[in-house]
Amino acid sequence: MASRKKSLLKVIILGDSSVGKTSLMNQYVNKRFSNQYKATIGADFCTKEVVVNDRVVTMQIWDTAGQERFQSLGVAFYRGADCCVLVYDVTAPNSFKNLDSWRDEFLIQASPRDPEHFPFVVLGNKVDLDNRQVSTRRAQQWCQSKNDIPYYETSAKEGINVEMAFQTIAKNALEQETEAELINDFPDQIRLNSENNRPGNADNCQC
Amino acid sequence: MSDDLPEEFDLIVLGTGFAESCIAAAASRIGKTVLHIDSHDYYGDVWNSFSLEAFNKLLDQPSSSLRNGSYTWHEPAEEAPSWTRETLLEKSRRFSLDLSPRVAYSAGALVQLLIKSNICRYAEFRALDHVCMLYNNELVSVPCSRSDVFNTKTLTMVEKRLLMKFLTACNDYGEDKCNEDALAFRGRTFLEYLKAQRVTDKIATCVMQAIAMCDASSSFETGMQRTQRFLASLGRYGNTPFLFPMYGCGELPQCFCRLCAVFGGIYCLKRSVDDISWTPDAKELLLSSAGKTLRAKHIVCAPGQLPATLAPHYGQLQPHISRGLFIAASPLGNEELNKGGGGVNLLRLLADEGQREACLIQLSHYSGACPAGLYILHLTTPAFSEDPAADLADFTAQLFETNAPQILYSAYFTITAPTNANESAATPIYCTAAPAYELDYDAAIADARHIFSQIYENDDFLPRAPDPEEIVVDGEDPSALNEHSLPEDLRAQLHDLQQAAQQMDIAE
Repeated sequence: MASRKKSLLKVIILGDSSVGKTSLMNQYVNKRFSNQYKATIGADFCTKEVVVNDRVVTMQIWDTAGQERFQSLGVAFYRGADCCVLVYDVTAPNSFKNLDSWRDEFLIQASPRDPEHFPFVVLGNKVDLDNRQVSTRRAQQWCQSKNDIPYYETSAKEGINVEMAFQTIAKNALEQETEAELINDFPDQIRLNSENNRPGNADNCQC
Repeated sequence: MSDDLPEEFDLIVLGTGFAESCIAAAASRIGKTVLHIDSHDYYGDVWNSFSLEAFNKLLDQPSSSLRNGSYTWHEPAEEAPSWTRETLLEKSRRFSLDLSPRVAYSAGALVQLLIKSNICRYAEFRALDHVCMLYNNELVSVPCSRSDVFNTKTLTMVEKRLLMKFLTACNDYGEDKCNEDALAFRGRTFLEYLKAQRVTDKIATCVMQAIAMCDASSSFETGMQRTQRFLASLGRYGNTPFLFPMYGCGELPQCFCRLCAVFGGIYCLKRSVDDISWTPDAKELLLSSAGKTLRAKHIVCAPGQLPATLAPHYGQLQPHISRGLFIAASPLGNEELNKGGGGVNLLRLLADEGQREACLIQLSHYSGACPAGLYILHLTTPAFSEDPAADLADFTAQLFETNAPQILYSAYFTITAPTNANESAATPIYCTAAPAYELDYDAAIADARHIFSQIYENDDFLPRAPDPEEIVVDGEDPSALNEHSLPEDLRAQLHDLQQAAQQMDIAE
């Protein structure tokens, strides 16, 4: 691409432990779900090519690698994020309450240029379960109060709304860029070994 | 903290500095259960980078590893009246102020380790724009690439040819074991060799100060080796042989920690340790923290994070590194050195007739470490007193006497090291070394590697971590990942790469 616009979008997924962050990523990228709960071992980041407004971009989705468990995510994790996905579990009210602090934490650590308009997306996960505790209305109200964050109810297990949610994530991440006419802040960044990576699939996942 | 923390680990690592993070990642990578904790609420310990506000707070509160901190706000310069204390603090989070700044040789130990282990996927770098030297009180760029040598205005035609000839000779040195020079200069100094080549004074300075980074007493072999290291790192990424991590060096420990976490390592910041005890045979160590007892087969600890009961075993904390940090509204040196908004530049300074040296790293906003229009100057020298400003006075005088940049803020501090860091005979705890005075991470990596090999004698240190597509998701056995050592094809590729780097001419 001749323009200096980004063709790589960094998306990070935040939320309490075991709300299904890794499963959502896995379902979206690999169309797979594993019911076996394990703390995020081996989950790293996934890349997937998506078409948004006739443009092909690579979406890189970063998992917390379990470092959220004892509130120990470092600032490096947040660097250069283009979109932040906040996930809670509709059967766990605490995970919903904590969305506030996850959002604040993101805004502090990532310190985006325009915090008011930074693209967040909220996902209420595990809607396939019977024991729902957080109502759709309550979640929607919270999202509205935070500058109309788009809200989706998902099931990583059943694959409900996952595709659509991530499509919105990609679209909003990209729009924020065009709106602000954001060109790459730091041209000439170097990734070691980038020439030497083995040709991989466009869609792959480290989880 | 919700305390569903497991109580038994193969390895507990205290402190999230560079060496500790390497060890934690390496252990986790080979399937050991790792708990990695830090008493601070940030990663990196004395290797971290801080926002301006956090940095000031750090200087205000002396700790075991950092003391003698002070900072001063200077009157805003006439040319840049908009930068006041208030406006700087408003942008506090746009700063990444390093305690232990470093640059990495493009083919050096750090870069090789990052590539070999595949941790490079978490890091981004900026190529340094210029390697500089002070010549007759003037800051000039040292020509690095072949095109640099031809284009530079600082050298005459004759000097250019001499320099090229000299560097080519250095590059070829060692291939021919019976090389005349090698025989003639064995046991003599590099400076003598340089003089024998009848290079001009300017070229000698260029080579001694910036390329070989030698002093008058450095041996011929050392000088040759360092020159070759410089040359081997050329032509790989940018115009100079050096890289700087985007957003500061504090990112690097976090890259290693992420790998550790991806392989199951557990992270707890803001967790202090009250005491460590051990069974008589030292096969099991007990660590008490926040009313809980955790058990580990091994413990690795940063010198600054030792519990008070054990710290005396490692001796007194002495001044180790003296640091100066300046925020300026204009860069050091002329426009040539700071094209397009400022360079990320390196300068080695000498004082006391070459007996003492300091390293200066200038960062522009391209490094991600400060807002546009500002510059950070990191000055580092081995400490010889409790007064960092006095230790650095000879160097700041050289820098700021003529053509001083418009300094808005200056800070000084001392990084400490225990007197017997490696004397762990009294305890079974492995203690890492405090940040050494070095340009790259060679000593820190060697330290991590050494401790790792003491604990896990027969295991590979950070073998290649698998790429995303290599991990099987369903019905997998996480331990199977650990058998994934570096695949043959990549091993060959890395080898080729290293070979190529070694044979590289002074490339464009």
